[in-house]
Amino acid sequence: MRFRFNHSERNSGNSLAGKLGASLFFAAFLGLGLLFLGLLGMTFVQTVQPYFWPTASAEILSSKIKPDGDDYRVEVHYRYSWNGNTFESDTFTQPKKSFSHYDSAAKALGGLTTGAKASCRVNPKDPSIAVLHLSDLWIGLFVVIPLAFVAVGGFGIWGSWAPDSKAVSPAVSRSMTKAHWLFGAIFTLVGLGTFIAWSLPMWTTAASSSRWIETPCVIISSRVKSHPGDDTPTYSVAISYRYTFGATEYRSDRFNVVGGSSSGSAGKKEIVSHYPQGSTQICYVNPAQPSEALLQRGFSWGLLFGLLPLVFMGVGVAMLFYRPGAMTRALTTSLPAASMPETGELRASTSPWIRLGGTIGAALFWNGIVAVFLVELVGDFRRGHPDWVLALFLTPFVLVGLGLTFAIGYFALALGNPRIQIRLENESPLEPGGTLKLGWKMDGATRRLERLVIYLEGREEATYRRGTSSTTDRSIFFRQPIADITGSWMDFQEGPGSLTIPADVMPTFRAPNNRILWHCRVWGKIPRWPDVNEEFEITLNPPSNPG
Amino acid sequence: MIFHGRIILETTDYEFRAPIRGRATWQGPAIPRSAEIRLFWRTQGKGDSDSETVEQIEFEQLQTSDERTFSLITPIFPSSFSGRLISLTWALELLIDGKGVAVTNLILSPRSGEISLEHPEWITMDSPEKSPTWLQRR
Repeated sequence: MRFRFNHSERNSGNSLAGKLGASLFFAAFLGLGLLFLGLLGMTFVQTVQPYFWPTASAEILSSKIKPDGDDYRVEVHYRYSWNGNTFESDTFTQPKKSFSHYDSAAKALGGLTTGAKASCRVNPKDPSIAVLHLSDLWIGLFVVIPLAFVAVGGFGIWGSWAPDSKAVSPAVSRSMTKAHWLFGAIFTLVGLGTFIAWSLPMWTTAASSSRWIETPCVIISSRVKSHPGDDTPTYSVAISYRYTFGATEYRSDRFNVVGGSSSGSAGKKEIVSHYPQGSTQICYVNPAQPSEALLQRGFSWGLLFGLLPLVFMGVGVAMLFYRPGAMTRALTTSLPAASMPETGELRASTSPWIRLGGTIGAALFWNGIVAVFLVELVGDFRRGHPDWVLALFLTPFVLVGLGLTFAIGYFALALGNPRIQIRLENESPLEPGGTLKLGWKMDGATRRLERLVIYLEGREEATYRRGTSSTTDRSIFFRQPIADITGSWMDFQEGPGSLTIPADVMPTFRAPNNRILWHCRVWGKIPRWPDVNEEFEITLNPPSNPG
Repeated sequence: MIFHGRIILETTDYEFRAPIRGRATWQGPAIPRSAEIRLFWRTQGKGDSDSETVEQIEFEQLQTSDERTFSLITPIFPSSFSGRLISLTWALELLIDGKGVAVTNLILSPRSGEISLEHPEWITMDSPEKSPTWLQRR
C-alpha cells in the first residue's frame, strides 16, 4: 500500500519580528565586513600606489633603525630631485611600517647609510611625497576575509526579506551554496597565501640555515622578555647580538627561525643563561644576505606551526568540494550500520547522542587549538599593541570554531526531537522488483512536527585515498517517497508505508572501497528547531530467482 | 619466458547461473609450470578498486602450445553495473605461471546487459533536507 498526503505549507516563523531579528544579525555581519573592508582596502591601496609612481634618484642624509616598543622602525631622511626641483622626505614606506626583528628592518633599509645613493618612488601628483621602500602586497590577500562577511550579511538580509516561495527555496539554497563556495574559496586562498608567504619561507630558511656561515658574534643584550597575556603572561627569548661579516658589522635579534612567545619561562631562562651579555658566541650568517643571522639553526618544534595554513587550506578545499547537505550527510553516516534484519525493527545509522558527542569532540579539539592563538591575540590587544594581521588570520578559524559550537547547540536541541521507530514488514527478503512494506511509530514531541517525509534512497559510495587521507564520494541514484505527511499531529504518530522497487536496480553491494547502499530516510520539519533527520539502512538482496 | 594466450567465448553477456563455456589457448617457449583460468569481478571509477576471484580452474598435463576447454557456472552476485561513481565488471583471465596472459571482460547480470544506475526517473523527489529548516526562506 502506498499513500501520500497532500502537503500544505504553513507560513510559520515568518513574523516581522523574526525578519527584523535575522536582518539585525546579518546587518552586524555586513557592517563589520564593510568596516574592515574599508580599513584594509585603504591600507592596500596605500601600499599599492607607490608601485605605480616613477622612480627618482635620492641621496641618504641620515638613516638608523630605532626600537619602537617590541618592534623596530627605520628612521631615514633623504633628498631627491624631481623635474628640476629638490625635495626632502623622511617617509620610508607607505603606509608606515614597523618590523618585528632588527634584521628585517636592516634588510628593508638595504644598508643605506648616510651619503649613499638610492632610488625612491615619487608621487607625480604631489612630488613632495616619496617613499624609499615598497611594502609587500600580501596584505591584499586578507581583503577577501571582510568580503566574506559582506557577502554573508548581504545574502542573509536578502534571504530574510525575499518573497515567500516553496518551503525548500531554491533561491536560498543557491545563496547558501554561493556563500559556502565563497567561504571555501577564501579559506583556500588565504591558506595558500599564508603558506606561501609565511610557512614556506620559514621552512626554506630553516633548511638552508644548515649552510649558513658560522661567525663569531658578541651578545649586546640577553633577557627573557615577558608579554602580558589575558590570564598569564607569555615569554620569549630576546637576545641582541652583533657580528662582522665581510668587513661590515651587522646586528640581529633572531634566535631561531620561528621566534614568537609562549607560556613557560624556565626553558627560555635556561637558553638566555647560555648567552650572557658581553660574551662571544657563534651565530650563523646567511652568506647571500649577511644581515640575516640566527643563533640557533635547524629544526625546532615551532616549525610545525607552519602546518596551520595547510589546515586552513584543507578546510577551504573541503568546503569547495562538499555541499552543505553533503556535510550533514557525512556527519549522519559516519558510523557503519549494523547488519539489518529483513524484517523487524530497523536501527538508525547514527544515534543523536553520537552526533552530539562527535561534534563536542571536534569543537573541543578545534577550539582548543584556536584558543592558544586567541589568548595571545587578546594579550596583544590588552597590551595596546593590536596585531591586526594575526586577528585577520585567526578570524576564519574562530568562525569555524563558533560554527562547531553552534553545531553542539543544534545537535543538543535535536536530542529533544520526536523519535521514530521503523519496522520492516516484508514476509520475505526484500529484492529488486519487490515491495518495501514498513510501519512507523513516533513518540516524543510529535505535536511540534509540521511535515514528515519518509523516503527510500539508493546511493553509490566510493572511497579513495590521496596520501594519508581517505575521502568518500556519494552519489544518489534512487530517491522515491514512501510517505509524505502534513496535517494533524496525530497523523505523525504512526502509520504504514510501502514502495514498489523497480526490478532492474542494483541490490546492496559492499566492498571495502565501493558500496551500493539503500536507506530508508526520515525527515521531519519542525519550525524554528533542528529537523528530524534519521537514516536506516535496508538490505536489498540479490534476486533469488534471477532471469 | 613470454607466453601468449587467448580466451575464446561464444558470448560475453551472461545471465546469472548460466554456464560460461569457452576455450583457452596459449603458446610459449617451454612447458608452463601452471595454467589456470579465473573468473573475477573488479570495480572501476572514483573509488580505489576492489576485486574478488570467485571461481578458478587449474589445467593439468600442460603442453608448450595448448588449447583447453572450460565450463564455469556464473554466481548470482554481484551484477555488472555502471553508475556515476562506480562500475563493476566481470572478467575471465588466463594465467600462465601465475601471470595473466589474456583477459576477457564479461557482463553478468540477472537479465541480459549490465545494470545502469543512470535512471533519472528513479529520482522522483528532491531531497527534503537540502538546507536546515531555520535557513529556508519562508
